[in-house]
Amino acid sequence: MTNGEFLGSKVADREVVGSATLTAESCNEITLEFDLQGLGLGSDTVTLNRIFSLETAGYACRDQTARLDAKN
Amino acid sequence: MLNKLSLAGLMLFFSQTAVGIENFITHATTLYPPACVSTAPLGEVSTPSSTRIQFLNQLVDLTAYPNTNNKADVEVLVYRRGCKDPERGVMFISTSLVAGGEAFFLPRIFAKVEGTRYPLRLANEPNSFEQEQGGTIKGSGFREFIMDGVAESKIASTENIISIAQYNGSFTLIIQDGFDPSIEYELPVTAYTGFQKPVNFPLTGRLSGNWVVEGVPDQGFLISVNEFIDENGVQNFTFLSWYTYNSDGSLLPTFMKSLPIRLTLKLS
Repeated sequence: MTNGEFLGSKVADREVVGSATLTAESCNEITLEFDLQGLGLGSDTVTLNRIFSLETAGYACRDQTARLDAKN
Repeated sequence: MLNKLSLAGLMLFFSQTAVGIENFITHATTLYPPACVSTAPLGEVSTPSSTRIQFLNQLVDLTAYPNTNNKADVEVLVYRRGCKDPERGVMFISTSLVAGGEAFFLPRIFAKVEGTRYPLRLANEPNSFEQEQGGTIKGSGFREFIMDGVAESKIASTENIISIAQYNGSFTLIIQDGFDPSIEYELPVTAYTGFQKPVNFPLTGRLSGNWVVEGVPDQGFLISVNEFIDENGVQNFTFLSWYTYNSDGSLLPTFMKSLPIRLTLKLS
């Protein structure tokens, strides 16, 4: 993203420089496939783990209903 | 009258597509990990037969509706499949009316553990808690009839709520006729000892947070999965930023130069 404006309303120029695919394996595991060769950052597939997670009823993931209940 | 199912009798082996919809055997206290199943319609997350423990697959006679003097032949499939979480699983029951048959009363389901009966709610949506969602059968081959989803919630008390450990362990499943409670079928079910990748794990806001790269603990991503809802349904928008830590553990944002990345959201 280039040619933008700090704290302004000007729409910046956008350019697709790569791609990434997130695949959720579980509450605590995501697979990230990225291809940023256009930036010289290569491509790879890595596994992501949570730094920390809050558990609800013993589970790391909160279901949508529970989150809505908490919000309300 | 107590009819114990004989697994050797009336055995029918029919394909998954002939079974109909899946209904969760669950409870409002979420006995299975919420993320074990997708929030997508159950028809989209049916479990392949190779990845489930099957306990029952046969015809069961249930009281017909509205003529309660008749019996309806109902194909019943009971199985358990695992979750990614160790020793956690989800119990399923599918019912399908034999073609040409009458509608039937949806049965009540109980788990008997060491002489204690625990009511299990039937829910037709994953992770659903609203009482009115329980017990409704919808789908081809079925005549919609609400029977016991609400009732099962009401008969649960502090003394008869099954625990997560009990749910995931071995117990006797009781299928009780929805019209005549004296008619019951007993079915032993065993614990699920393994684990498996969810069939269709949703990429939702619950996965937002700080993540580190496995094997590279000084690098990670801040991921925010936003679920925007518009006239076209849920439109996920994911923001991802890469960061590193310095030697004293402070966060070092790396993508200071804003870098848009087109993400393909993938369900696995």
